[in-house]
Amino acid sequence: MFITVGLFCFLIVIMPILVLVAQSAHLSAYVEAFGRAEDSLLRSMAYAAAGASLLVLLGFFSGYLIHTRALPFWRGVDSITIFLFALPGTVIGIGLISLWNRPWTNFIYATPAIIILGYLARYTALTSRITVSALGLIPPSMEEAAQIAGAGWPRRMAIIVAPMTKTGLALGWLVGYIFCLRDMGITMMVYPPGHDTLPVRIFTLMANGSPELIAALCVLMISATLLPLTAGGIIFSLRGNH
Amino acid sequence: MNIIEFENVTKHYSGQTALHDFSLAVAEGERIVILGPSGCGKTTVLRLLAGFIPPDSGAIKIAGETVAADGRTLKEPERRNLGMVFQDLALWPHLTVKGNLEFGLKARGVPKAERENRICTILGLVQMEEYAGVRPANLSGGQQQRVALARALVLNPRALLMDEPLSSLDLELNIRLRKEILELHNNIGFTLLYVTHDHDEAFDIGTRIVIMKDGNIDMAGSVEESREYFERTGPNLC
Ligand SMILES: Nc1ncnc2c1ncn2[C@@H]1O[C@H](COP(=O)(O)OP(=O)(O)O)[C@@H](O)[C@H]1O
Ligand SMILES: [Mg+2]
Repeated sequence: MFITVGLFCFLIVIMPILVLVAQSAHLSAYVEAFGRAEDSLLRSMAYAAAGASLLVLLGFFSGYLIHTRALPFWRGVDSITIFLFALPGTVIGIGLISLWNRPWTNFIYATPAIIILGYLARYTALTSRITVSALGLIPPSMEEAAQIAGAGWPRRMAIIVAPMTKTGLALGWLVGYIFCLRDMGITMMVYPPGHDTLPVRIFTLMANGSPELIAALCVLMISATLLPLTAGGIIFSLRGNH
Repeated sequence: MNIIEFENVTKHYSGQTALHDFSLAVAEGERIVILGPSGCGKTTVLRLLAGFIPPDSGAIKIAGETVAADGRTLKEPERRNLGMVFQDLALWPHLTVKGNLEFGLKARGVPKAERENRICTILGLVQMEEYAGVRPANLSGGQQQRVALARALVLNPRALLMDEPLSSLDLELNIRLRKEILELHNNIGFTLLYVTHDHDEAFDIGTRIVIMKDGNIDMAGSVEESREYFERTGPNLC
């Protein structure tokens, strides 16, 4: 039974990656890949990091609202974020274009800000829901004790609630980073000229790039995904050993 | 002068009445014990006073000022200047003992020198000076109690609210901490609202006992009067 499942996993998960690695196993492929996509690789990681950070912030607010039901429209916030997450990225992309493609909003539409905005529109449900479950783990008395001690909302969040949910927030950042990094739908629709990301670049190069180049690009993409995951894993396990 | 007044306060939770036409006045420096079986509304009284929930009707006053009335909170919990020891203590696990005590002082804008001073004094009073740098998880149950008390008292609250603070301790420690609470009261002279379902604890702590039943006051009086009350009604209140 386990052998069957293991074999199946190997076939559908490990094999494609191994094939990519094997196919790109020439230094020249990587030199070419860097030459033709270094800028979009760096942009991808920067946009994903920025998107993940803002997603954690936004998700914290909406998750807090949903968890405490502090305002009557909490249910609406929850439904809308989940609905946006369920929509295809292209649909959100078209929505963003028709909303922001106007002369007086060009300071957003003509800059990478529109990509980040797209990430926030689509992926807030992830960090919001992760925040909700992280908040569920701390007793309400923790915040109440801070409140009765005389602390207003920002201080309660900054010094008590956020530090107590920091594992959840870190997890949210990683998940947010991964989803932003691999986003195609929105990015392809809204990226301003010269601001494409690695998945978009791979897609455009696929038309006439060599298989070795494409494979090398994909391996770069995988590395960009694994980088923070590995760093996060190491940090978590180091802290776990304490 | 009355530091705390409940005037005909009623509170429902989704249709169910938790408190009905509840009136109580607490004088400054008094030690009031609210005694009653589980579910009679004791915690609700403290949460209303703290401001975490508003009354459906009636008014709550602190030092003569109406802080909540008829479904509205007029003064937020963070501005009521009360101290509270929660049933689960709610010590912040990521802060040291000193960090726990300093948080409220910083929130109230107390300058650093005075903060140090007050923390030092109160930790001395609860015999926890050596533990200033320790996190709550590394303290014993009794020590955590003392820190929770110190955290509330370091802010010089207008009243200290305690919700069954000793219920999780073994009897020996429970009795010792009762003594310590009384000693602290002698030293500092705060107003105390103490909630419990334990008769002995109530009679030890209280200068006045408020016996609650089904969301209302069944009897309020001295320790002697409440002993007589239980002789009449039988002790099976809990
Ligand atoms: N958040 C709540 N939602 C619904 N019912 C509640 C809530 N809090 C308390 N109650 C109900 O109100 C009544 C009084 O509760 P409580 O004040 O906690 O009593 P006590 O502290 O004396 O045990 C109980 O019947 C309890 O079930
Ligand atoms: Mg209770």
